Amino acid sequence: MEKTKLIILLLIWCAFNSLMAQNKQISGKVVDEQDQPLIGVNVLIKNAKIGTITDINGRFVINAPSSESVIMFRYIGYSTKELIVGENKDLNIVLIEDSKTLDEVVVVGYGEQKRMDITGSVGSVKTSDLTKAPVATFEQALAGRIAGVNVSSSEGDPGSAMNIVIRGQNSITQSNAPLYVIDGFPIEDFNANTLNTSDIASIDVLKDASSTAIYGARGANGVILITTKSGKEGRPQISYDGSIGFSKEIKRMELLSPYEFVKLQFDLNPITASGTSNSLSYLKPDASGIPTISIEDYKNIAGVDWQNQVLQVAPMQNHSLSLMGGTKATKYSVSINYLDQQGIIIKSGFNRLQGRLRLDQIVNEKLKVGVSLSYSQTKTYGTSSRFDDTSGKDPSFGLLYNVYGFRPVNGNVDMDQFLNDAIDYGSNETSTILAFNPLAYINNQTRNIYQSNILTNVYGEYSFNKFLKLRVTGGLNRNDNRNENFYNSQSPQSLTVGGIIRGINGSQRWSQSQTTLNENTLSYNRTFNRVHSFNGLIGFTNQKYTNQLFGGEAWHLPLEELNVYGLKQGEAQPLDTRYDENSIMSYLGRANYNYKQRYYATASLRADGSSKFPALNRWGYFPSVSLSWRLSEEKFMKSLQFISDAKIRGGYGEIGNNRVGSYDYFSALALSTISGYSYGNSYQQGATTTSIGNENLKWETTKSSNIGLDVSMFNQRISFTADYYKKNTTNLLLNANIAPSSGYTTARMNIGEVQNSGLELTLNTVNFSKRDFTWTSNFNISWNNNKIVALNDGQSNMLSNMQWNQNYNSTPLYLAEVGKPIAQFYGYQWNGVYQINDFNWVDNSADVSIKLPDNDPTVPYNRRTYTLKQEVTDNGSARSIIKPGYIKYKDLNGDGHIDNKDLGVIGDPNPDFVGGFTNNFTYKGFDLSIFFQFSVGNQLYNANRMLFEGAYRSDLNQFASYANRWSPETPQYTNYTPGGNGSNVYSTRTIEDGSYLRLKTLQLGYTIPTSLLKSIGITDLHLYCATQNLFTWTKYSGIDPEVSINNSALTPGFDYAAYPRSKTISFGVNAKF
Amino acid sequence: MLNFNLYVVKIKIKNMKKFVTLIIMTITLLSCSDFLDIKPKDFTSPTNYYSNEDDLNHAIATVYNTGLSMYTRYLSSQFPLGTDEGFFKSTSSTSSFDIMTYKNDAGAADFTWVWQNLYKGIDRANEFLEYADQANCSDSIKTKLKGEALFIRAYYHFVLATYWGSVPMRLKSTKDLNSLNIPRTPEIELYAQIVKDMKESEAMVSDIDKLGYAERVTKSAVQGILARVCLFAAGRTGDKSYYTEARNSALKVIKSGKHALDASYQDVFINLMQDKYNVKESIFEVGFYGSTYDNNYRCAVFPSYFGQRTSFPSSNSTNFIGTQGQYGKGLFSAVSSAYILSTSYLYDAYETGDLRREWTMLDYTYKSWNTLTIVPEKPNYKFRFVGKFRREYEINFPLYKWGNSTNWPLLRYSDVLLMYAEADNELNGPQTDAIEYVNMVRRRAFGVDPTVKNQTIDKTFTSKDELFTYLKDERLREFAFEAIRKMDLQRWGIFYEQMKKMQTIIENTPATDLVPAQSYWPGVPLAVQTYVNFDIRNVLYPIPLSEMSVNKALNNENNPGW
Repeated sequence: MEKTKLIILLLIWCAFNSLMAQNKQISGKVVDEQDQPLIGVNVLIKNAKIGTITDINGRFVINAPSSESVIMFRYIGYSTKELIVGENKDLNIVLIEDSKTLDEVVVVGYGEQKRMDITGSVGSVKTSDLTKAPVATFEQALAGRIAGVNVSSSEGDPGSAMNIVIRGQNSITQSNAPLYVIDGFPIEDFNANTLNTSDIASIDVLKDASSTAIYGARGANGVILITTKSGKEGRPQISYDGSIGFSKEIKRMELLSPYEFVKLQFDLNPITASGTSNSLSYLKPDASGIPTISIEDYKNIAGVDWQNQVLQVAPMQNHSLSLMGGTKATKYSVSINYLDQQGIIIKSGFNRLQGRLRLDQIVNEKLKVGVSLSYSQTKTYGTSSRFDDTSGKDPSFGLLYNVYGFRPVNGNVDMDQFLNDAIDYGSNETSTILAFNPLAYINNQTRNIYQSNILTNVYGEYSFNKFLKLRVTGGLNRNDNRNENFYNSQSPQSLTVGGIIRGINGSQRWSQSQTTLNENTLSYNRTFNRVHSFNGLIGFTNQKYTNQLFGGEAWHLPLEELNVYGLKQGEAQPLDTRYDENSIMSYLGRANYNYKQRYYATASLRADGSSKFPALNRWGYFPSVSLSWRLSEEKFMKSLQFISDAKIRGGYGEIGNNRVGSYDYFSALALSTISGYSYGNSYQQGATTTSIGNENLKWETTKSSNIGLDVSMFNQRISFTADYYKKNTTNLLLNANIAPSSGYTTARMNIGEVQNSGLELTLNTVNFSKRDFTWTSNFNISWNNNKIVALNDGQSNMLSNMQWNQNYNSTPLYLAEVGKPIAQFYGYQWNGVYQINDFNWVDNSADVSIKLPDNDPTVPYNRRTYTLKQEVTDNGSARSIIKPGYIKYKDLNGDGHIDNKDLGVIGDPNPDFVGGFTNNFTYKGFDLSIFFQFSVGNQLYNANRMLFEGAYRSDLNQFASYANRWSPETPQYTNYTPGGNGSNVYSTRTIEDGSYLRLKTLQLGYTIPTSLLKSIGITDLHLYCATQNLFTWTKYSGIDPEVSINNSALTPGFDYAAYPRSKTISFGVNAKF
Repeated sequence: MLNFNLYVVKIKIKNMKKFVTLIIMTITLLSCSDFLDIKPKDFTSPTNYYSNEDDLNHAIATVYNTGLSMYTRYLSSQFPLGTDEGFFKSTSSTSSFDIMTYKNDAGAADFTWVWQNLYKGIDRANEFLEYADQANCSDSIKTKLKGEALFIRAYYHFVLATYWGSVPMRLKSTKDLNSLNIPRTPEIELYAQIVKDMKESEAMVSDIDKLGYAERVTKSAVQGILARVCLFAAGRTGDKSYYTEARNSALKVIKSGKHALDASYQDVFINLMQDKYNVKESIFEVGFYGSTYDNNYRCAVFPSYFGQRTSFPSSNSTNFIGTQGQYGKGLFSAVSSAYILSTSYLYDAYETGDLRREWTMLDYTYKSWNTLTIVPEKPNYKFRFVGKFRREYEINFPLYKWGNSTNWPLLRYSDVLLMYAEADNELNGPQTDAIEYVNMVRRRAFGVDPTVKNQTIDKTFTSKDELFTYLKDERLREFAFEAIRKMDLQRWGIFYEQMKKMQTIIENTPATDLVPAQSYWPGVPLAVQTYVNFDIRNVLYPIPLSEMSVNKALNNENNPGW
C-alpha cells in the first residue's frame, strides 16, 4: 500500500518536474495537423520514469537517458507517436487526430472509460463525420455509421423525427426508441431538433446489456449518450460554421402524358369522356355539340405538370457561432445556432434558433462545479403530404394524391378556373368524390408546430481525496409545444363535401412537459500495487415527468382572415385537456476491476422504482456482469508482432423497458360526447369505462448476452470489431388482444416473448498515411434476426392494419406470427391478369344477320359477352363481372375461389443486413469524405401503385407505367384494365424490393494554409462543398426506398404519399479565429 | 424532499498505517412512497364515479349507446338483410357488404365490431348495476335506471343469441384480467336468464306515457320485447311454455290502454325521419341524434343504404329540386345509396290495395342521379328500391351525406298485436281477440280505420294453420326492412328452405327484370349471389375470430360449418 502511494506520488512528481538524472536534453513543439499547438500532451521516455507535458505553446523540454531512448507523445484523441531520440535536439511533432485509438475515452453510463478498458459493446461515431452531412439534426447523419444502430426516417419532410432501433425490435406494441442521455440527463422522448450538431463532442451508443444495465428499467432499447463540447484551457477561440445549400427531390414520379391520360378516360368511360353536356368532356364540344378537338390532338398539348407547381428547389442555411476557452480553473463554451430549411414542397419547412452555454469552474482542489444551459426554439410548418385522418374519409383529401392524380388537362373547364379553383368542378360525378387543386390545397391551410426547449444541468463534484469523488447533479428539461391548424374556405378540409361539415375551421393545442432530475453518485477509482485497477460507483437518482395539454378547436369560423386567432368566433368543439405525470427513483452501483489491463471484470446493478407500475411491482432489479481478456497482453501473443491489440469480451445482463403510459395500470372512466345517447331528441353525454386496468403490470425484461472481439493490427492501422448478441425479451408490455366478449378488446398485459440475435462487424483501416496523403476507411455491417417466441396465451398470430385509405383500413396487411419476425406482409399472391382464353364468349350483336357463333375468334372485341370458364378460378369478385384483363390471384387452396383461405405471407419488410462504408481522404489541404449506406433484402409495400397504376377512378391521372396495360391488342402487359382491380385487397403485385445502396454523404473540402490567413486574423479556414443523398441505387419504383409511413414495429415498410425525399448540395465554411 | 447525511468514519484497517476515512452517505427520503405513488388526474375510475344522479345519467347513456348505436347500419341493414325481402344488389365488394351476401368468413371485421360492442354494452350495464347503489340520489331514480340497465343487458344478450345462437353470458363486469375467458352458455339457459332479467326490470322502469318519447326503456317496451324474446325462444328451443309467456306479455301492452295503431302506415316512418314521436304506435326506438358524420355512432347511417340512388342538395330547405348549379358547387350532401333491392317475393306477398307495398317498395325513381325529377316506376315492376326510409322527408337542415337523426324502430304496436295473435294461436287456435288484432293491422294497410270492423277487408280464420300461414306473410308485409324477417325465419325454422326457394325464383327471373325498370343507376344485378352463397351454416353467424383466437374457454368450437 505504502509502495503504491509512493509510486503514484512519484509519477505525479515526474509529470510536473523533470528533476531526474539527465543525460540528454531534448526540446520541441507538438502541434496538430492544422499546425495548432497541442497543450498538455504527455511526453514520456519509454521504460523510464521520466515524463513531462507540453505548455501553452505546445512546447516541452525533457531529458532522455540516452540516444537509444524511445520518446513517446501521448494525447487523448490523437494517435500516440514514438520515436528514437537519436541525435535530435529540437523536435517538431505532428500528432494525428484519431478518435479510434485505444486510449480514446468513451462515455459510458455515469462515467467514462478508455476504449481499451471497455467490457461491453459500445459504438461510437466521430462527430467530425456527422458534421460533414448537410442535414438539420445529428440523427439524420447517424444512419449507417454504427453497426447495429438502425436509423431511418419515415419520409422526407423537414423537421421530422427519425426512427432509431438498436439491435432489433424488442417490443411488439410499445416504443423501441433508445434512451437518450444528454450530458448525463436521461430523456425518453428526446427531440433531436433541439440540438445543434456542431455542439456535440461525442456520441456513444451503449448496445448490450452489460453496458445499458446501469440504466435499468429504461435501458432495454439501447442508450445513446451525447456529450456536448466544453471549453478547453487556452486562449478564447471563436469558431464560425456556416453553410448554405439547396435541396431538390431525388426523383419525380413519371405520370401519363396528356394524350395517354385522355386515352385512358376513353377506355374508362367513353360516354362521359366525349359527352357534350358535362364539363368532363375532353373533346370540348361547341354549342352544337360538335367536338372541337380530337384525342390525337392531345399529343401536342403539354398539360399541367402539378409536380412542377408544387415542388421547389428549397434553400437551406445553417450558421453556428461559438466561443470557447478557459483557464486552468474556468472553462467556458458558448454557442448560438440558426438553421432554416425549406421543404421541397412549397410552403413547408423547418427552422431553429438555439443557444448554449457551458461553464465549468474549479473552486478549489476539492470542489468543481459547472452548469450547462441550452435553449432552442423551432418551427415546423407546412401541409401534410397525405390526409392525417383516414377514418371514413377519402384519400382525395391528401395533398400528394392530388399532385399525382389531379388531371393534367382542363377538358371543358376554363383554364383560369382550372388552375385557380380549389375543387375540380368537372371531376368524377358518379362517385361523388372530388379532386382538389394541389396548389389551392397548399395555399389555403396553415399548419404550424412551434416548440421550445430548455435543458439545463447543474453539477457539483467534490473530491474527498484523489480516489473518492461525490457528484451531485440537478437538471431540468422543459418543452413547450404549440400546434396551430387552420383551414380556410377554399381548403378541402373546410368544404361541405364527402361528409365533412366543419366549414372553415381551426385548432390550437398547447402542451408543456417538464422533467426534473437529481442524481448523486459516489465514485472510487484506485489502482493497487500497479496491477489491480479498481473503479466503483454507487448512486441514487430520482426523476419526475409531467406533461399537460390544452387544446381547442372551432368550426364554421365567420372571419377567416383572422386565421387561427379567430377561433373564438366559431362553433366551439369539445376541449382537449390532459395531464400526465410519472416518476422514477433508482439506486445504482457498478464495479470495474482489471488486472494489469489484461483481465477485466465489470458488474453492475440498478434498482428502479417506477410510478407507472402498481405498488406490488414497482421495484425492478437489473443486474449485469461482463468480462474481457486482452489477449495481446499475454506473452504468447507477443510473438505476433502485427497484432497491436486483441481483446475478447463477453457479458450478460437483464434490462427493462417501461415504455407504457403513466397510468396504464388504472381502469379509466371518462365522459365523452360520442358515447352518449339521445332521448326525447336531446343528447345526454355518456360516461364510459374506456380501458381496463391491470394491477399486475410490470416492466418488460430483456435478457441479453453479447460476445465480442476487438483486434487491431499493424500499429492500429487495421482495427476490427465483431459482436454477436442474443436478446430475449420476456413479459412483453403488450397491448394484448383479449376476448371481446369481456367488453374490452385489448388490455395492457405482460405477455409474450421476442428474440433478437445478430452479428455486427466493424472494420476501421488506415489505408494510407503519409504527411501529404491519408486515406482511412470505416466499414460496418450488421445482421439481425427477429423472432416472436410467444404471444398471448397460445395465440398464434396478430394481424395489423395500415391506416391510409378508408377502403383498406380494415383489411390487415401485416402478420405477426409466432416463430417469425414481428412484421411480415400478409395478403394474396398476385397472378397477373385474365387472358381471353380464360373465357367463353358469345356474340352480343343485336343484328341477328351478322351474329357469329359462340367463341368464334373473329367476333369483334366490342361485341363479346364473356363468361369465365368453369375451371378458371375467380378473383374474389362475382364470376359474372370478371372480364379479360382483370386482376388475378393464386388460388392457394385450389377450391376455385379466391377468399380468405388464400391469404398468406406475401413479403418480408425486414432487411437481411444493413450497414455503411465511409472513406476519408486528405491530400495536402484537400479533404474528401465519401459515405455510402446500404440496406439489403427488405421489401416495401408500394400502395401508391394501388391508386395510380390501376385507374380505380375516372379522371384521376396515373403513373406513366399505366400506359402499358392489358388490352386485347396488348395481352403481354400485366397491368389490369381500368376497372379490373377486383376487390380492395393487398397482394404481391405492389410489393417491391426495397434494397438500396446510397451515396449518402459526400464532402469535398479545402483548408486554406495558415500562412495565408494570419494577416486577416483567422487561424483556421476550411471551405467545403457537401452533398446528401446524391445517388441511390435501387430497384424500387417509388420515389425512395427509405420510407415507412405510420411506422411502428408492427407496420414497417409502407409507402403511400410519403413526403418526397430530397438530395441536398451545400457550400460551407468552418472558420476559427 | 431528499435528505443527505454524510458521516465521516475513521477506521483502522489491517496492514494500513493510516486511518482510512470513509464517508458514508445516506439518503433518507422523507416520503419515498409518495414520490412513486402517482394517481391519474385527467380521468377517473369506475370505483370513484357513480356518486350522484348526474353520474348515473351519464353512465346509463353509455349503456344505451354502446350496443344500440350498432343500429346505425350494422343491426339495421347489414346483419338482418339478405333474406327473401331484399338483397344487396351492387357489385361493389367491400367487406361491409359481404355479410349481406354471405361471403364473409369468421374473420370479418363487422362481425367483430358488432359482437364487441354488444358485449361492451353488456359490460357497461353490469358495471352500472354493480355501482349504481353507491350514488347519492333517491332510490326511485336508482331503481328506474337499474331496471333500464338490467333490461338492456338482457336485450343485448338476446340480439347476440338471435345471430349467434349459444354465446357466452356475462352477468358481472370485467375486472380481473385472469378470468376473461368463459365458455358459451346453452341457448336454453340464455333465454331463461334473459326472460328473468326482463321480467325483473318490468316492475322497475317507467310507464311510456310519462315520458312521451320512445328512446328509453319503458314498461311497454319491456313487455313487448319480452313477447318477442319468448316467441324466439319457443321457436329455437321447442319449449311451448314460452308461448304462454309471450301471449301474456303482449296482452299487458294491449290492455294497458296506452297504445293504438297510427292511422297512416307511412306516417310511422315519416315521424322517425322527422324526429317526431307517436308512442302509441312506436313503442321503442333507437335514439339517433345530429348528423355529424365525424361522430357517426350517434347518428343514423341506415337511411342512406335504402332508397333510389340519389343525392339531395343540402342547402335548399324549401324544395328538393336541385339544379346543376348546386351540384357544380359541390354542396350536395344527403345521399341515398340504393344498396338494397326488394324482391318479387315481397311484391307478390302484398294483395292488391295494400298500401304498404308502395311505401315499402319505391314506386318512383329519379330521372338522373343528381336531378330530382321524378319518374314513376313501371306498374307491376317487382324488383324495386326500398322506400321505407326516404331522405326527402328529412327536415333537419342542412342535410348531411350519410348521417342523420332518424330513429330506428325497435318495437311497433302492430308487432305486439301480431305477436299476441301468433302466441295465442299456438296455444288456443284462432280466437276472436286474436283475429280482431290481426284485422286491425290489416285494416290500416288498406287505408281504413283500424278500430272499426270492415266486412270487405277483414279476414276470417278457421284453423290454426290458416292463421299461422297468414301471420307469416303478414309479418313480412308489415315489417319488411325493419330487421325482423330474418329473426322470424329463424324461429320458424324455415330460414334455409326459404333462401333456397328464393334462389329458384331469382334463377328463373330474366336478368333484365332484376333491374328496376326506370332506374338511372342500374348497377349490375347480382341478385342470385346472396342465395347461392347461402349455405346451411349461414343460419347462424360464426363466433368472430377475434374471440375464438383468444378465448380458450370456447375450446375452438364454432357454430356448425364454421
